[in-house]
Amino acid sequence: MDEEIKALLLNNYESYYRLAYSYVRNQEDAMDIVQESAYRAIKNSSSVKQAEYAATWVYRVVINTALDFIRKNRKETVGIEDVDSAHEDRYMDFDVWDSLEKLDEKDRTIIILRYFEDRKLEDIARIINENVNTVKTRLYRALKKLKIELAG
Amino acid sequence: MKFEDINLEGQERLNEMKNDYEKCEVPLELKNKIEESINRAEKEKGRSKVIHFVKGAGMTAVAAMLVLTILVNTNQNVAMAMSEVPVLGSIVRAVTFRTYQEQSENHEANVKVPNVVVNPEETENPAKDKLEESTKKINMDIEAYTNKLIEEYKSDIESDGEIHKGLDIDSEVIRDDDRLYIIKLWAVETMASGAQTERYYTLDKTTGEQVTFPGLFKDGADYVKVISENIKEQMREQMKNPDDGKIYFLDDPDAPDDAQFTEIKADQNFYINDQNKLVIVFDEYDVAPGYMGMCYFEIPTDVLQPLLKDNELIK
Repeated sequence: MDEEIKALLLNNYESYYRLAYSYVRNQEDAMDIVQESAYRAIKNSSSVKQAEYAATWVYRVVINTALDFIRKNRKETVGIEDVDSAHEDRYMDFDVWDSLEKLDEKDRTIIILRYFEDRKLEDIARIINENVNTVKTRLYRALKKLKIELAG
Repeated sequence: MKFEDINLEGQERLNEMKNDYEKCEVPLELKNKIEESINRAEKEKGRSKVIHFVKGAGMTAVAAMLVLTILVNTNQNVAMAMSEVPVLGSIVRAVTFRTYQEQSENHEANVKVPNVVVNPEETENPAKDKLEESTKKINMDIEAYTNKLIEEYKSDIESDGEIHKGLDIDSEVIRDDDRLYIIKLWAVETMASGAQTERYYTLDKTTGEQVTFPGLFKDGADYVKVISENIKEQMREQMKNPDDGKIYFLDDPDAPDDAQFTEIKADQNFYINDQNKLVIVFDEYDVAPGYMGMCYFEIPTDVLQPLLKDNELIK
């Protein structure tokens, strides 16, 4: 399994990076998250029993690592005002990030994986550990928030 | 929900977002950093593989465990014969039996395999025959153990020439006096970090017999329990102050049962130090995390007293 996971990491690291970036909005932190994810993924590769789930599993590792990172950072920065925006790379502030900002972490991840990374709903469900119906509901809600309408 | 289910305006909006999303530049150095992470994780995993191997090897070696100890006193004839021997210490000595050296950019082996030999001039020594027998057994064990490590090293670098690996084996005579001859054989296998093991062989010069761990104690004595309890006490005492940074695999509710220290082996690795105290030896990773290294516990003699067969050997 190590070889499969290694190949995924080296081929898809740009996707992992952007996803991590959506969580932290900061280049340095996103790099740290992807590096740590790569380490965790190889270290724990034995927990993947079937090769076909390796790809979704690595995404899950990246998301969990990002969430761990945010949790840890929040703890460290309690009481410091506006610390997030101070850390953000303003020059990266494309429209997309402001739009995504309106969504909670899960909804944002669903939008990214579904429309930017072309992942199937079933895969997304596995990645964020929800059932497919929940993913669909969240996706509708997220699109609504982004003021994107379905074809009528 | 497919992309086509979204109205045209929405599709356009999503495409714009996707373009922006992909404009998020990925730092060039990220790929290298990921490769570093992968290497680090692989090395650490490789190390734990080695540890398992070392543990396995340790068990076989311990099963055939030899402790050389030679008796001097008690027996009148022995004592008399000994008095004619000018330098008692020289009756057995260690010689380098074979060496194995290999080096390349990524791997390096420096192995010196010792043999314990009986001084051929010691023809008058009554313990000589027994000593010959005991040293032969010890040498066979040393060779089997070192060969296994060398073979493992060779097959690892054959299967992967890029593998970073080191193997160092050497020995040291830690005691050589009227009564005891103790040789320590140590091996360090290096992957990402080292895994160290030690074997002690003790000869009783007065009897020519190898001193085994069970042989120290009276028949039927529950030495495993007594010594294990004492070691646990010592571990807890050492762990009392967290600032000392001492950690043993004991009383850890998160650790799986088989990773906890429960008791020593019936043929536990040990030596008798120059104060005649019993020292229990654990290989790296056996009872503590790797950074603790090899672990040694001196057992107070008053704890052992009722169990000891020979009150001269351990005092």
